[in-house]
Amino acid sequence: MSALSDLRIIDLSSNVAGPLCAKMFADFGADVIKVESPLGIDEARNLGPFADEEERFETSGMYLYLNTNKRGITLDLESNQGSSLLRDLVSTADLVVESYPPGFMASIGMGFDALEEIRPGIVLTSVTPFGQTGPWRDFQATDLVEYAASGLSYVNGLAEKEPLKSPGFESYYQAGLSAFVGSMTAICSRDLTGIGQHVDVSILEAATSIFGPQLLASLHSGSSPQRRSPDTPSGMYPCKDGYVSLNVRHEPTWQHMWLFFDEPEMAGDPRFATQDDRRRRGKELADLLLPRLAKYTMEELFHGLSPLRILVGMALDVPAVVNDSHLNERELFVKSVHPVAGEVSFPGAPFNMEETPWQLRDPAPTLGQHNQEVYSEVLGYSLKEIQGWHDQGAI
Amino acid sequence: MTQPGSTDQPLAHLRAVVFTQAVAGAFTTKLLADMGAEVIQIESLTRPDPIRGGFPPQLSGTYPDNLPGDRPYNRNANFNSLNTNKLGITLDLGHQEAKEIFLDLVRISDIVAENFAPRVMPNFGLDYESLRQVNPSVIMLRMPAFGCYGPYSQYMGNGGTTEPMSGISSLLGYDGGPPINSGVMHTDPVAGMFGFASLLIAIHHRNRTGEGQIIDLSQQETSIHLISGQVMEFGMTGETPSRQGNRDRNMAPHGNFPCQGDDSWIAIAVRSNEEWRRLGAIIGDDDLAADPRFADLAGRLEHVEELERIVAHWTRDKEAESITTRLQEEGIPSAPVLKTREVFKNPQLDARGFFESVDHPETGAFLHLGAPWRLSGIPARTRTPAPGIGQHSVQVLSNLLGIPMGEIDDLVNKGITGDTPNLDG
Repeated sequence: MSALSDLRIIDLSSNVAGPLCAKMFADFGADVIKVESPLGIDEARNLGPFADEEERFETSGMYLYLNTNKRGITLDLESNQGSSLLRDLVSTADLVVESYPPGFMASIGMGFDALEEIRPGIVLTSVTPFGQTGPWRDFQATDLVEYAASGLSYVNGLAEKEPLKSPGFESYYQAGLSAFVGSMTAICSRDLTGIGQHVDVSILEAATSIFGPQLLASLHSGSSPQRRSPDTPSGMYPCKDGYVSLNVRHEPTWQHMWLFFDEPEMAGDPRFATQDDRRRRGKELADLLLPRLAKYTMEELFHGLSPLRILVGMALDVPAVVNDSHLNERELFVKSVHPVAGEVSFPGAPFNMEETPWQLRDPAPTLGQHNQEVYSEVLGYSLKEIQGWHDQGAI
Repeated sequence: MTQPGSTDQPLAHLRAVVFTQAVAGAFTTKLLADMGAEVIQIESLTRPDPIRGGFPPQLSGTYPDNLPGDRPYNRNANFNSLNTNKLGITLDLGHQEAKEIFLDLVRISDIVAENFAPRVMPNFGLDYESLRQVNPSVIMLRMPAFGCYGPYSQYMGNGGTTEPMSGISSLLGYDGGPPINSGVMHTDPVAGMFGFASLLIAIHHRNRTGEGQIIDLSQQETSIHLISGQVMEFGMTGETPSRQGNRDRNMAPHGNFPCQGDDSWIAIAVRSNEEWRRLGAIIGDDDLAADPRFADLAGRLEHVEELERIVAHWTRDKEAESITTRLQEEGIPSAPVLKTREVFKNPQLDARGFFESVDHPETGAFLHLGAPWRLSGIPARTRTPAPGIGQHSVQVLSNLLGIPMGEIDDLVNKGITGDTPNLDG
C-alpha cells in the first residue's frame, strides 16, 4: 500500500526545490499532477546531465530524477482557459506547490485566499529564494548565492582560497524537504481542524538550518569559524590509494588507533595527552600519522578502524559510490526506463519504510504526456474540447 | 506539568520517546518538537548524549563565554541548539526496571526514534517487535550512519564520515586539488530533515489505517541524494565527475569573487546571456557586454578564466554589500559571502524573525533557529530551552506514568534515573 495515495497535489513548481517537494509526495503514492506552461518549461529540463544531447529537453537528468511518478500536463496559467482549468484542478486537490516570484499567484487570481475559496481546507506551499516577505523577497538567487548568504560558504574550503559551495543543489534540497514536511504538517493539521494553510518556505532559511548548529555554537562561544587551515589541509589524510577522513581525538579511539598500528606505547605521547592537545597540534599529529597511513589502502583503513569504533570515511568518488557493495546490497540505486532518455539510473528510496515503501512506478513525464488522461479522466472534458484548447495554445 | 507539547501546534496530539543523539537524529526530533509534538529525550547518566560535550578533563563542547561551569553538559551550545522544545529524562537501560519504564512510555507514545548503531537496541532486548508487543501501532525510526543492514551497518559514522562516504568530498575542492572534507557536518541536518519527512509519511499512513511501521534511514544514502545529478552523469557518460571549485556547466560567471576588506567575498551567478549583458554593462562598458567571446554560455565557459579575472578585477576594491544591492537591482543573482556571525545580522532573516531568543536556566538567553517553513495560521515558536540532563525525569515518571515518589527515589538511588551524571560509570 502507498502511504499518501489519498492525496492529490498540483505541482506548478520549477527547478529543484519545489519539484523535490512534489516528488516526495509522488514517490510515496500521491497523485501528483505536474503543470508546465507551453511557453515556459521547467528549468530543470536545462540542468542536465543529458542522456541525449539531441533531445536535451526530454533527457535532462535532474528533471528525470525530480519528477518520477508524476503525471505531466501543459497549461497556460495566464490565459483565460488555462485559469479556468487550473481552478478545476484545484477543486480536486489537497495541496498546490508553486515556486513563482512572490505575488505572482495573487496576480493571476490564484493567491491563497482565492484557492481557499475554490477548495476550503487546501494547502498552498510556496518555495522561493528568500520567502514571501522581507526586504530580500524579490532578490534573485541560485544555490551558490543561498550557500553564501547562509554562512556555509565562508567556512567551506581552504583558507586563503575562494570559499566553496557544496556540490549539487544542497540548499534547494533542504528547502524542498522543508516544503514537504511543512506541507505534510499542514495536511495533518487540516485533517484535524479542516483549516488549510499557506506554507511559506524560504530557501535561505533552509540553507541556514543546515549550518544552524554551528552558527549557534559560534554565537555562544564568540568564536569565528574559518575555512580549513594549512595544518589540516583538506580535513582528509592521504593514504596508499586515496584519502580518508579520520577522527581520533576522543578517548578511547586514540588508544584504539595505536593498537591498530601495533604501537600501543605511542598513545602515551605527552604532546597529545588530551583531546584539546590533539586538536591544537593538528600539524604535528598529521606528521605522525601520514607515514603510517601511507602503508594502508582506504579499504584497509575503513574495515580495520571502523570495528574499533573509530570514525573513518573513505573519500569515495562517484564510480566507487555507484559500485559500492554496501549500497548495492541495500539497493539504493534504481533504474527507470524513459521513452526518450532510455534507461537511467539514480538514487531511489531516501529511507526504507517497511509497510509503505518508496516506489518507482513511472519515469518522469514527457511534456504534456498526460494531457488527455488528466483533462478527460480527472476533469471529465471531451476529447474535442481538449483538442480545441490545444489549438488555442491554452494547453 | 510544564508542557513542551503545545496545544496550538499541528502535531500537539503526538508523543515521541526518543534516543536521538548527536546532530542528525536530534535535528529530526527537534523539528518534531517544533511542530508541537511532546518529545521525551532519553539519556543515560553514565553515557549522556555525546554532543553534551563530555566531562572534565576531556571536554569537547562549546560553552557561553568559554566557561564550562559546574555542569558543562547542561551549558553546551551544541546540545542546547539541537534539543529545544524537548523534555529530557534519564534511564539506564541496563536495568530491567528501566526497560519496563521505557516500555510503559512506548505504550502511550506514537513514535520511537533512535540513531544508535543498529546493534544497540536489539542488545537491550528492545527491537521493533518487542515495542510492537506493547504498542501495535507504534512507529519506529532508526537512522544509523549506514542504515540497519548491509556490510557497513555496524560501523559508526557522523557528518564527517558520511560526507566522504557519499561521494560529496570527492566533488568538493579546487580544480586540480585534493578532495576536501568540509568539516561543516552539513549532511547531518539534511539527514535530519529526511528523517522528519519519513515520520510524517508514517503518521499519515497510521491515521488512515491504524498501522505503525519501522523505518530504516541511512545517513550515507540521504547524503548521496544530494549529488544525484553527478551519479546520473557517471551513468550517462561513464566519466568520473570532477572537482571544479564553484564553476558550473550551466552558468558563467559563477563563483565567489574577492571584495574590499579582509577575506570578503561576493557570490555572483549569471544564468543567461541577458544577465551577462547586464553584468557586463555594470562592470565594464558596452564593449564588454558586447564582447563576442562572452556572448553565449559556450563562449563564457571556454574563456572562463579571463571572464573570472575581469569580474574579480571589478569586485576587488568594492564592498560586497553595496555591489550586491547594485547587482540585485539589475536582477543578477548575488549575495555577500556572510561570515559566521554576520548571518545573525542578515536583514532578511531578521525581518522574518528566523532566529528566536530563548532563556535557559544555566546559560542565559540565546538565539535559536526557527523551522525553515511558516504556516500562515500557526506560528511555530521555540517554546522551551533544551533540557538539562534528566531535568524532567521526576516530572515524566511521576505525572505521565504515575510512579510513586518513593519508587522514583529508589530509582535515583540506584543510578537508574536522576539529573546528576555518574562520572565513574
